[in-house]
Amino acid sequence: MAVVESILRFLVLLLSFFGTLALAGLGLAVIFGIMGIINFAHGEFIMIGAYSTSIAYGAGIPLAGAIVVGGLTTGAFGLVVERLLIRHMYDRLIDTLVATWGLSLILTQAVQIQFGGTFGSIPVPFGTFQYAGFSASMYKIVLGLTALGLFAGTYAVFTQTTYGLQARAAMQNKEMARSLGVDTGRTYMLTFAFGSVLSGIAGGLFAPLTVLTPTMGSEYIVEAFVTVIVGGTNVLIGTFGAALSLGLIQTPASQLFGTLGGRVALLVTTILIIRVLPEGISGVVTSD
Amino acid sequence: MSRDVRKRTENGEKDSQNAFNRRNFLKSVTVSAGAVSLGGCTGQIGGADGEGPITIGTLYDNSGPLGFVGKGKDAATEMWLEQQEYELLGREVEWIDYNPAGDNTKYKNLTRKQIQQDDVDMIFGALLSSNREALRPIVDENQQLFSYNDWYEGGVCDEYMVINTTLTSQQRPLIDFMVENFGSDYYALVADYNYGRVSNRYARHYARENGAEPVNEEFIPLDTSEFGSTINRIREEDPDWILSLLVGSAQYSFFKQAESAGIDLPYGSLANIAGTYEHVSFDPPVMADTYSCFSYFQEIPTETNQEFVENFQERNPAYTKEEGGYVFLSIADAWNAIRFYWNAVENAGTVDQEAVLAEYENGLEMDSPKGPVTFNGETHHATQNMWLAKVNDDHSVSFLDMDGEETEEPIAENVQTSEWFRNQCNLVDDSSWDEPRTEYLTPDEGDLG
Repeated sequence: MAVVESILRFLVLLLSFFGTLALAGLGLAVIFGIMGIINFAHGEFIMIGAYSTSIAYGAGIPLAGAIVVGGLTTGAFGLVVERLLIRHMYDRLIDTLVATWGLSLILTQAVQIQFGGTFGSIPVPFGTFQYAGFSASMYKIVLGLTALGLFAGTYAVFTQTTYGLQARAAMQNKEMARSLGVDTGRTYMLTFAFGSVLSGIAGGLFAPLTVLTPTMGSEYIVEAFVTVIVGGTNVLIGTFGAALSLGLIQTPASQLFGTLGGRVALLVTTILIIRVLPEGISGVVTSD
Repeated sequence: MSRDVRKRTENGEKDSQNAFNRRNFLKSVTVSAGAVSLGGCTGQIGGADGEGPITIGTLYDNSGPLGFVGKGKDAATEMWLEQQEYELLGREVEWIDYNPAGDNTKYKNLTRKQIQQDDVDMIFGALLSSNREALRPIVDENQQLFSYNDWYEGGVCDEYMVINTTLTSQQRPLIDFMVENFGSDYYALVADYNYGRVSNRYARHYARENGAEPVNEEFIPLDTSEFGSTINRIREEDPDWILSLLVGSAQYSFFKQAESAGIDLPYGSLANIAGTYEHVSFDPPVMADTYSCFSYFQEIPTETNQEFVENFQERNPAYTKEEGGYVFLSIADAWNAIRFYWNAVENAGTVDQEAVLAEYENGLEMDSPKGPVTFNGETHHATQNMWLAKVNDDHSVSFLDMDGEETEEPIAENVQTSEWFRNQCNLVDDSSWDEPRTEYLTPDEGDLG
């Protein structure tokens, strides 16, 4: 019995770390992988997702629907940001970095002014998962599984839709894609919006587990960047592999050495991986 | 006269209304400029007596992560000033309100600006100990009287600092209560920075004096919001209760996650409820069975307090329950801070800072929303009552005595600083305005016993 309990404990914790890393990183990875843009306001996109989810939830929409609202709202917001700001800075990595950082400060403060220090909390749904002496939050298990679902959805978007085909073309060779008639400007616009939707959904999924504050984005930004750096430019396999391998490190480390130990292990592993694999996990899986 | 005349912000110049008022103010300064420079020669830094307005400065964050705290403190300051009609000793009071935005460099620059440019008579400010330690050298070198009034771990022994808030050592009744009522095995969750670690040292010491021992002490980085492994470990250690020194919105996620993971242990908190009102932000029963000990809670059932809360909420609806707000500890401390100053100046009959400090050191006494508070001249800290609050299943708050019975009285009266600190810090005997002690004392392991 004790063995089963230990295994369950490990698996649930792994699922929860994996879910957090993957959800935090996916939106950032899509935008970085395809557009080569590092969105420093990524944490604030997550925050917008969480806030709009909370508003929708407060208006009586069930949580799942509220999360969809959160994703779409963030997507619409991303679209506006792309049109007003990002599109003027394609291929200017450093400039977008500074611009989106500025955007993150503005967003944090605007939300602070509008909504104050804290915002309506959402109770954690689904109750407790219980097995013998082991119990865990059911929602965390759902969170990990939802992350897997989002990967599947993103895979479908990139392989089954025209937009996905064009996005991959623009990613592999922008000039060639353009000369073959792909409107890369439009593709980038949609990519930024799509990445924003993913960030917004992540924010909505995190919302019940955390406290909504204007600065909540900073809680996820380390996880997001670590996942994307370790994952590299391959949006799906890279991000999935990074979240899984980092989760596999963080789970036993935090079990043995506590939360701080898990955190240290996460960052040390990241340093080691980018030292050995500068391209991240994508560098291993992409044979060229 | 409109309020704008009496209040300035660092961006005031940009506002035409304010700019006009600023010019008015500059005129009045010019009139008394001679006196000010004379004062400078004789070592008086503060504004000259008898002419021009009395100027008080505040440095409370209005933006950044703690913006909501500073805004509450400013609102309390404003409420007091308006009640006094911006008048003290028959002179006009000008309020110089800057926003350091949680940035220690800004804290330093704005402190300098208030002292050197605005020539303030008194400064109230700093939220975190790191803010205070950033600006303290400037305060010390300019011999500027300064009120620090946000809860902290204790230990500032500084001639120019007057402090009225809850210190960790004053929260001792919580540890005694938890051990007595729930048992001696506790699991400590500690925010991994100075406040958390020093406070945990006090907690452990008081627990050991009660024959209790932590089964584990976990130091948690401030931005941690994922507590899966912590919850697993708590379950493995099976403690009687959990000591919370969790700080910051990220770490408050713990309570929600523990609830949904089925952890059903009482929390003894040195850091929650009074200042950060988790019982209002979270839906019940996340915080049920939390015990918290501080000098102030909005729910304190005295008439003085209920009147204060009503007045404050009427002026500032954002702090009502309907708006998800709460009249928290930092507000009550800012309120007491400015009232202490008022009393000191009225007793001294002047805003000369050395004379005002002498009044503080004589031991000011007043009634307040917290109950009676006195200022201890030796330590420059306030002596006050401590209340033990229990968060009920519906997130209402009851106050308890040491046996766990409901009461309308504080759990401990006239609580001073720790014995260790009183032995270390006597600013009346060992320090003077011109030969000051300006230290920040932290007890090492073993110092407390």
